[in-house]
Amino acid sequence: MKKNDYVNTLISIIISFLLGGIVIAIMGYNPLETFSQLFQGAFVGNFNLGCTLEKFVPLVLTALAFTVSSAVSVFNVGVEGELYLGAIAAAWVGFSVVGVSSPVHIFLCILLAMVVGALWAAIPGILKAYFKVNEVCTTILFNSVAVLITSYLVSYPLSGHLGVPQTPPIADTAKLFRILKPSRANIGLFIAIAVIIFIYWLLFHTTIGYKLRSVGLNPNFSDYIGIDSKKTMVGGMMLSGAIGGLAGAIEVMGIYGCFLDNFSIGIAFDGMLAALIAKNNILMIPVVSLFLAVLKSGSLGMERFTGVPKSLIDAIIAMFIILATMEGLFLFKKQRKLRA
Amino acid sequence: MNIMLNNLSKIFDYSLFYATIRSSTPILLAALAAVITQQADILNVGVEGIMLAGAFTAVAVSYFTGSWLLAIFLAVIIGVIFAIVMGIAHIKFKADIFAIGMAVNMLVLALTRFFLNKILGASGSFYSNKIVPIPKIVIGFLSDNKIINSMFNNYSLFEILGIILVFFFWYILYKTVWGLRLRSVGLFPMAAETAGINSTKMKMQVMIYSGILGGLAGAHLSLGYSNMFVENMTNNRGFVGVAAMFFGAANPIITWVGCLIFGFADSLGSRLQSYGLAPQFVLMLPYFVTILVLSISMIRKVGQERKMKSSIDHFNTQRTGKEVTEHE
Amino acid sequence: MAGVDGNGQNELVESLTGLRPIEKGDIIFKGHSIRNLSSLKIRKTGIAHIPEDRNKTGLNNKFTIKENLIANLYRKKPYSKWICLKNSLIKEYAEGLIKKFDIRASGIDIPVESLSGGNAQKVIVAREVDLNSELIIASQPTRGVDVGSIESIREILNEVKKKGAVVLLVSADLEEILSLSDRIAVMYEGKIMGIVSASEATELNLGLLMTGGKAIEKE
Repeated sequence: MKKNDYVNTLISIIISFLLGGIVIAIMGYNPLETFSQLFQGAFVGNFNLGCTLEKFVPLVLTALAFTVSSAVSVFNVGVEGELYLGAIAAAWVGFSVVGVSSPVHIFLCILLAMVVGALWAAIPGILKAYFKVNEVCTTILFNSVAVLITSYLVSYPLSGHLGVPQTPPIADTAKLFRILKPSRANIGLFIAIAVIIFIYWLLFHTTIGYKLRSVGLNPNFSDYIGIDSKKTMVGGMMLSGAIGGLAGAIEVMGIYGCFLDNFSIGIAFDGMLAALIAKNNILMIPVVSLFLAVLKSGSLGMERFTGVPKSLIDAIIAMFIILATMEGLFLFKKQRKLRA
Repeated sequence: MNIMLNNLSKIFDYSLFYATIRSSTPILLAALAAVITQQADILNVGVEGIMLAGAFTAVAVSYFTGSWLLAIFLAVIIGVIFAIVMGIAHIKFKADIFAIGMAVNMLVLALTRFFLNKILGASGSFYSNKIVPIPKIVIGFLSDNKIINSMFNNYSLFEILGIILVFFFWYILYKTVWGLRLRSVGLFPMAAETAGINSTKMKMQVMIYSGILGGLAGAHLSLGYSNMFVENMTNNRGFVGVAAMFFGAANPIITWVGCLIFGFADSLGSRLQSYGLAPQFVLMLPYFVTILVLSISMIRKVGQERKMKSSIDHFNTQRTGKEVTEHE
Repeated sequence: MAGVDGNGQNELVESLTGLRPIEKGDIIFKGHSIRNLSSLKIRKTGIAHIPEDRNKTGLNNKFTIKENLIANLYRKKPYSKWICLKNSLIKEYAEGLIKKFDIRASGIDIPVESLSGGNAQKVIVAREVDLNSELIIASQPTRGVDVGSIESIREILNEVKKKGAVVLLVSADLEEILSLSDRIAVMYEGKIMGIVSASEATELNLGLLMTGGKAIEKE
């Protein structure tokens, strides 16, 4: 991200908060107190901080998944679907497999989740790479299909028969250790951080990353130089799907302890937006994701203490996104003239 | 065997026609909103949000004023406002169109939730018999014949209008000067600019038209297709409209075919549900079918292109004599 | 390979380098068929390729000069071990190549799209020539390139020839063909109209063949 983009994002944040503050004041609440509660709701106390981290993990992983697919110039809007399928795969291994030690069990859950996510993403990947089917279209539709598949599974064959649409709870050996109790933050956080570092290394310090980036930037050149652009594109999509699946697995194993029908209300879409705001820069993704996580978790505390509805924060976030994605919005007149 | 045939005939009867048209119209209107911008190479994923905004506005206005006409009008205005915001952000400030679209979707979801609470005093959904729906078009003499009545009578205004709009836009896009200019802006903006076409102006124009269509789509959804407002009632219909647009490669007529396929699968699915098929598979059906049809059409297209490029005679046309000789 | 643009030279080169599928006929290189092999396999048999379109094919414009220069060798030792790239060695290699081929740039980490046409072409030439392959296919290597770089590139191709490699030069520039070639084939409408040795070749002869006529025998 160029320096201008950093400044742009910062100013967007400030303006969104100002506008939000004005609306809050108009509604009759005290904006300062509201924002203070927002901040406290995100950071103060183990529970609040844990809440923020809970939201951070899936956000950062789904953002990463989207960025990885963007690296091969495929818009994987289907991360939500991979999230769901990975989650139910992890849940299935979690409650079906017994008698293994914790590290092994966790490993197996994550492994299947990532494999399922990768295979699911491969389908639109193949359709795009080999048949030029537009991936935005297929992945959006595939999301709905994935959610419905998991809904079916959790209501019939994999049901926990508990009256609520969920799978049987996973074994304790599959659960991720909780940190910062009484919140649900868990060691999935460290898994996520490790994945971020791994992906960064993969993209910029390995031959695999070289191939992925090459195909994403110029598939003609890549074919000419000996990189099979089609295969690489599918590979990139599969990696993206695997990360999405991982995110789902962590939700199940760390937060819910089972697969819950419709547990995600658009987590992956928020992640995608975080990636777009961060302009797919891997170093910025954790920062933007953390910021969004802070806003979302803080808004719960804020609503509780001040009565300002959470939907207002969602609106502020949306406004921030709109402002942040506009390039050159806040250039001063001089710079704008220079650019022209 | 007899039972199966009996069941089949119960599922596939003439009333499926009506159901298909009904269920495909909201998607059709959303798809047209996407088509018009796609011709200028703008991928409008914000259709979902604009539609939802239109739906809410229409219900609220209809409730408070009792006029469905005013409701439609204001729904369109709201749609246009969001479209203009998107347009300025993307065209003038080069915001990523996908990000802006998704942000608008988010914004509308949050705002409708907020205003549903504050203005209509409800949570989750809102219904009142004070909501005046868009009238249905009832043609008297058709009601004599049962089959014709079912197939061609009792449609809501927009269900008829939607079909008219398909052909209207097809004509505008492919048979008028404005349409030609628009398509050139979408296909090759630099050439269009050189020819003196103001692509910025055209792009803003189509964004506004898209806002109008999106607003109409929403108004129809809440006042024509149903008679209430539910949180997130668009339920991805806007996206399916975008998918239909891709299916039709931004050609209004083929896009309409895509919407019909979806609507057909949707209606069929609801019927199959009463025969014991798990609801989820039923719900999956339309998406599945759309992807399948889209993939098959693209696969065939790629195959055709390959054959075209080949110098071996696949089409039994006269040989042009182009042969590349071996190189030593 | 002489010929007016658009007579099948491009398609031929693409077939030779694995970028276009071959439906009929065969290509024999060093005694083996290379028909329909992948571009990677063909490169491995010892063929390098300077493509006709440097912006679409020859370079990855958003990649840095360094990333473009290492594009043939990044898989090999010592530039990578297992899948890890050895960035310091890659940097050395790139800097060496810039000096050797006189590429004017402010550094190896700037994107290649900021280079002038001549320098960009030299990046491609450097990358392909440094492989020391047995065969280099150079397609319109000096098109859209400044005079200084034209001389430079032709000199490089001559050097390659002297070292014993084979150069297949495809060009629409007669002067270039005549000054560099030993044996000249002329393509017209997808067919080879004739093969002329350098001693027999004149602008007139070649010109006639290029436009579909027959060469005049030297008296």
